[in-house]
Amino acid sequence: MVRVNRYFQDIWDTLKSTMIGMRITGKYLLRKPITVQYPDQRLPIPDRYRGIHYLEQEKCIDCLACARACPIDCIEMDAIRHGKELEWVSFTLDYQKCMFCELCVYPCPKDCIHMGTEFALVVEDRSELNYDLLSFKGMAVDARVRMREAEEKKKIKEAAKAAKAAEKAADENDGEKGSGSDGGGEV
Amino acid sequence: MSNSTSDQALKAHEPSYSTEERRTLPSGEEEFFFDVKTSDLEVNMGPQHPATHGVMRVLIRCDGELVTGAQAHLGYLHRCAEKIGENVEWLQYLPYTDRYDYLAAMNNNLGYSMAVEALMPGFEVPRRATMLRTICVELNRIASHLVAYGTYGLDIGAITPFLYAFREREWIQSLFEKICGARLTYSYIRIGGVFNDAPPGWLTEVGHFCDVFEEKWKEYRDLLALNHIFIKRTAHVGVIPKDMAIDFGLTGPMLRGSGVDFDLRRDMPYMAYGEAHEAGAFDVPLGEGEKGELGDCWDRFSVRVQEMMESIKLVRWCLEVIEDGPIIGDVPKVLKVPPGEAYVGIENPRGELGHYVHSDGGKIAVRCRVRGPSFTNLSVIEELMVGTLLADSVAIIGSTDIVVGETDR
Repeated sequence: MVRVNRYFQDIWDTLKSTMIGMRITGKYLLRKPITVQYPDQRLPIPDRYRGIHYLEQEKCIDCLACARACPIDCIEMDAIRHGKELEWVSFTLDYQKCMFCELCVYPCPKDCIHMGTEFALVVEDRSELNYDLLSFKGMAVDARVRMREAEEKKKIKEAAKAAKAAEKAADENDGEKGSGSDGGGEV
Repeated sequence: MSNSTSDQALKAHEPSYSTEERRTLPSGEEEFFFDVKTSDLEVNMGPQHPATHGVMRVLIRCDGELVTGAQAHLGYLHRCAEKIGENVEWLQYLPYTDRYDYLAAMNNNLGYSMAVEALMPGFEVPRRATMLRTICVELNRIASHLVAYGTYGLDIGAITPFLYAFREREWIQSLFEKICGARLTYSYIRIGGVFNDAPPGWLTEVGHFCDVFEEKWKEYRDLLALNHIFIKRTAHVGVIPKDMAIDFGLTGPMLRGSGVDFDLRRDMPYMAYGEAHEAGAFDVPLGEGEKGELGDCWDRFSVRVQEMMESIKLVRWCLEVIEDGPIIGDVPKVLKVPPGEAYVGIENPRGELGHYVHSDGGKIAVRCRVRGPSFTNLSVIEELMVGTLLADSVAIIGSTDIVVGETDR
């Protein structure tokens, strides 16, 4: 008898809890869909999102602080120094390795590497994931102008220096000659 | 211990063979009798099986529907996380800690950071950082328990609660996305404090989340935890008595489900938990054998469901006491940790997550070792599954709430 009672009790309990479940799901039946149709509609991405990096190349001083901070050595940079100006060869970030941990952003002394909001890493071949963050290679136009100006200034300075040295030498020579001539009294 | 027990069980189920019998029927036909040859069947559950929650293989030996032995085979997700810790700088190891228990990355960050901070004498984390840490860790605990809740339903055969659980988990993830920029591998809690301060309006949104979650939590309870079919599948299944739980070194909800009152947050307080407990901000829910026996699968599940609510209380308390201030202590960019060794255990959603670090005063750890709760909790299934039905083995594995990334590391 107890078994029979339990049998019917089970059926009743199951029906009851099914109805409770149906009530909860039923509440959401007439709600508007919340699905976002991805490529057309997009959810807002927060400012701090850790996506693909972007580099403020003008600020970068090629100090390798970010490359040293990277746990998996995925940042590589190469630049030729012309005095104070830099001639960029490459600044690559290997997104096959990168784990988007943002550790490269904090040690930067010039605050020039940031993580952007782009996240789609869709390529046809793996090798394309080795991104070059440089917007231009070689030297920027204004950097070249600055370098040329600096070189010209340097040339002028050197010329002035040389002229001064020559003058000084000439003066000394004159002085020697003068002392000689004074003694001679021929002129 | 588990091996000897399963051997005994195997001996008890030695296959019995009988000889072939033959008799002649009155009609003149011959009839053969074969006793069905019974031998144990070995079934591979995994490596790719939806109920193992990752790449794990359980070798189950069964006699018909009865499980006579089980053995967990690990290592499919081994990534040398501990060895990497001995090859990269202190701070550089932080992103790797995200990746062993990927459902509770904040907790892993915290455990490692606290272990390194323990090596720095006299170092104190600023108060605002402590509070932000506590909020993030507790939100992460809710997110992790929501996955445990959803996937356990999925194992048992209920698909709807999984989708409901992921709705709130998604909200928590977007909260984390706002504060640190990542949705799963946060690297937010850093040696000395936290990476970023909370953006404007973030704390208000967390408060709003707490209000909404309280309502939704009742839905979770009614939808799955108190569902009669679910109770029938989980109550009286996989019972872990108190002694057995302690013997196997279980921690977290697995231990508390068996009625052992032990929670590191309360018994060995770290960060703001001691203060929070004094203020009565949280209780430690225990299994009570409400629907079946003490320590069955339902009790463990119920402890997780109740802990979500305790976490909400803790977050609320933190939001009340949080004040402005610095978010990171004075930590040099190139960190050199004084020589020494430290072990710090924290309460992960799955149990005690311990980090042991050993420094010789350099930039890199000499030894870095992790005590993962999932790994220890998993050891009990070999014992639990013997003598149960094959269909219950899924319920038992699901109730341990393992993350395979952490058992293998």
